[in-house]
Amino acid sequence: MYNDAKARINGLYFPSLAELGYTDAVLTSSFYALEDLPAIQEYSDLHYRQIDLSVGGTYNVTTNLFVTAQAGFQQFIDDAPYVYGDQDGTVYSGSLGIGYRF
Amino acid sequence: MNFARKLLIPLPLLMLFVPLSVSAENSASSVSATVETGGAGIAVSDDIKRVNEYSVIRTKPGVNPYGKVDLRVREQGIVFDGTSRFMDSRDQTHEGTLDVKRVFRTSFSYDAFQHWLDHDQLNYLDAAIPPASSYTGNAANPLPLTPNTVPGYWYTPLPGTTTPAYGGSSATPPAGYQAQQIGRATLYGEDLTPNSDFSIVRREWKSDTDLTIPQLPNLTFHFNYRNEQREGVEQSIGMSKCTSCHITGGGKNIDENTRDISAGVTGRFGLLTLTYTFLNRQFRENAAAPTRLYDPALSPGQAYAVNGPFDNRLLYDYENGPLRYDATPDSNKNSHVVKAKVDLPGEASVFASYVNTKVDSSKSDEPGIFTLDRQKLESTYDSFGGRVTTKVGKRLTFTLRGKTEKIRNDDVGIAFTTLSGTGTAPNQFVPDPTSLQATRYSSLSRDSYTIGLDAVYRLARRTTLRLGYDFNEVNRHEQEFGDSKIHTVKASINTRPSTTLSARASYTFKKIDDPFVTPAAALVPMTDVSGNITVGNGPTYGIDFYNRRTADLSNQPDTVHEGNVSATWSPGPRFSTTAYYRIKAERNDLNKGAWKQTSHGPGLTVWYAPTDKVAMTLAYNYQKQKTENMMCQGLYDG
Repeated sequence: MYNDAKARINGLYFPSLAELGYTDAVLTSSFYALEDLPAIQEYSDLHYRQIDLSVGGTYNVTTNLFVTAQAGFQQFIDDAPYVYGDQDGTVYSGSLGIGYRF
Repeated sequence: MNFARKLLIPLPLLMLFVPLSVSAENSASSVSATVETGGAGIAVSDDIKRVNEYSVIRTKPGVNPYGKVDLRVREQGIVFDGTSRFMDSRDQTHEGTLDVKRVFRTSFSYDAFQHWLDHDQLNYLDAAIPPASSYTGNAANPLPLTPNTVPGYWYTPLPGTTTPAYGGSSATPPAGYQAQQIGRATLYGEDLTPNSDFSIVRREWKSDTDLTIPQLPNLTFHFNYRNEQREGVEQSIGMSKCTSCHITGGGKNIDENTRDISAGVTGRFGLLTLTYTFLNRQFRENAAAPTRLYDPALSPGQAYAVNGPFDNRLLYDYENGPLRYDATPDSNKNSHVVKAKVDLPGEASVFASYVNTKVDSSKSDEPGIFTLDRQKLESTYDSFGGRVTTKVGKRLTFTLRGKTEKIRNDDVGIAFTTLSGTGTAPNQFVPDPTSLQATRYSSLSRDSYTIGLDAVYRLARRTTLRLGYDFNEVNRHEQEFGDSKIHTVKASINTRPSTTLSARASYTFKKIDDPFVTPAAALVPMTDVSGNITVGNGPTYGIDFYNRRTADLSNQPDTVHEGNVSATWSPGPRFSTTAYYRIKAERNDLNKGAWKQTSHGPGLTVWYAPTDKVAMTLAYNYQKQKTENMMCQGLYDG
């Protein structure tokens, strides 16, 4: 399995206080200006990829007896770390077993 | 105790395995089983939390033995199916079903898994307005405001004053000016447990049993049990305010138990089927709630002092010591459900149901801060529902539906402890005594009525048209939250023009009169506020800001259009593809603006199986959503 997911917010727009009709000298100063708030949208960029590979097999030694093996590889690639930090991670998994059916 | 419980959990299952395995030797044809054992392990690099969020081999790096058992027994009317999978103590599943001559049927399971949780680093919140010392302007040299040159106070000329605005550090404005405090506010986040990993282990025991006594063949008795245990640590985020907005993250112990017991009976009397079910649910949080040491109440820039002058502004702060927060209350739930169905000739049926539910949750006072007028918060739910289905001719089917719901939730009286020293300097206001005796009215209390009519018409062979209409009226107990009327019209068509192609199209229109909104939630007229926001003149957030808001806000639509189309093409047994498109347009015309949201969601899936044992799936999904909304921006000047 391969999954590539992207999400982002753009087009965020806040009118200035002047556009909203506020004329008070203090409030309309740059200090409380809303025009800078669209920078928030830069935080919204999310991009991650997931890889999930697994292969396994069973060999019947006799009609009843079998051996089985499995190997797996999972990877999460965080291309846009933000709130939760860099979540890159890789897992290698494997199992080896013996079984009997009747 | 936990260790003993671990040993006891699989015991019933093992006890069943023993005699069945023995019987296998005597009647091999009725028993089949597979037993597997071996070793399994994982190795991890970097962060385990996302890549192994729900583990399937092990919950953390290492190797351990594993075991799996599948067992099926059929003997003289008794059928048992069991599976058991043990990977490690926090990753195991055991299931079994037993059918004894269709008189006694039971299924039981035990399931355990670990869920790694996210860890918010809280390193993206920091913001600050610099202190007064960074501003060097004065009346003769009125430097403008910039983010890096901010005075503690900004002096705005009063009518008649011709000199420009400028900044300074005194709360007392010069003659001819008014002052507004603007500097020294901060907002910062702090992760108090940066090296902690958060996870929850969930364990669930469940059994569902049906019993039909031969002497009462019309009745089937049901007994169900479920016990869910959640243990671990999750992140809990709290906030202090006054000197600054201080947001902190810490660990919260979780030891939750949810126990469900339900019993009921189903009776079949000719055309009539009756079902009654009783459910008792008990939820307990056995871990102590986290505590928080709140920041001292200080004027920005002042040194901390025990019993400082700002202590008379907050109900609690640093001097109260650690206080509970983020507590999960214990709760109990009792539910009665009665259902009746009559199957009539001609594919007609009548269905009716009644649901009565009562939930209570525990509440407690915070000594010295507030007291509540009740220690149990009770909610009740009563619902009557009905449905009549009938067929008219060979092609047309009508369904008439109706439901009434009554939800009640207690109002809660809250008495806040009177602050000592209110109305004293500096800049202190005297609280309105009624504000110390508040009532939390519930928006949950409401009556809801729903009626609907559906029609299904077979236009042609392999083509069906569906039409539907719903009307739902919601009358909320507290008039402040308003009443809503919801009209829903639905139409859809399913067709299969050939053996390889099928398609579906649907459209839904909703008209909601008075959807749930927050009335007067934003937009204070500047004519009210301008010149009246100087610290020291006595304005309060409640009286001078909140009470003067004029704009209603909502993220709930009053008009919804939704359309879906999809088509599936399957030219052969080894290939299939589906294309779909979903569009939804919502809006709400509010008194001072509109909330609008439009979303598009096209997608494509392709499935291909080159051989019987190899199959591939490719999927692409795209979603675009556009929202236009009025927001309320907080001005965080302490």
